[in-house]
Amino acid sequence: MTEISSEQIYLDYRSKVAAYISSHIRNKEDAEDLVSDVFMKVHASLDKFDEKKASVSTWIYTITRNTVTDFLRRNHISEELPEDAPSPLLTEESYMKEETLSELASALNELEDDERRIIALRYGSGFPLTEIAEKLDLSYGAVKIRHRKALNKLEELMKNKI
Amino acid sequence: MEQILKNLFDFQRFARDPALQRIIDEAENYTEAIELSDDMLDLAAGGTAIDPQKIKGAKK
Repeated sequence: MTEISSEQIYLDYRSKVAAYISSHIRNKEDAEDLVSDVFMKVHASLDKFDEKKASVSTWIYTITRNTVTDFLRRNHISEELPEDAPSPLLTEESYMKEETLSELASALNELEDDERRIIALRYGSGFPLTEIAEKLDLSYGAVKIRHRKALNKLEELMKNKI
Repeated sequence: MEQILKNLFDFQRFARDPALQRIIDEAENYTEAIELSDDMLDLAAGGTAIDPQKIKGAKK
């Protein structure tokens, strides 16, 4: 197993952890505290990390996401964060890799422009379909149909990759 | 598929794959351009002035 130090992990991942936390936590002080919490947890569990089970990136992302989830729960803030993997056969470890993000980008580029934008706005920016319809100057019905078409196409394009 | 996309895009907030980020940015910039062009049409028709914040946003 590659020797990984806490210091190197901090240098390599601090900005990613901070960016992720800031996207979910508005209060700057809370966000900074949570960044520290994440790296304390990383340091505390580094000896248990097994590279065969997950990449460093996925491992740190999971710690970060769980830290944010715990914070939101403790503070009774309701926010949609990803739930567990949809099926026992399809675990997060099987598709939550950086390569999958590149493959998703390639698949999105094969969609029609409107379809790609709807997916990006819905899942990337978090807008509901009603708001996406306003933003794209389309009817709600048209957005719903294109959203469904895009999901079906992506399922086909991504099926061998996830 | 929806849940997988939610998970992947949430992971993107961490990993920031450049190709995927370009797609997200393009979609957001496209919607800003639509809003700005709607405002300009409104202005041309004698409507209210454009919100400077929107112009600022469109320069991204």
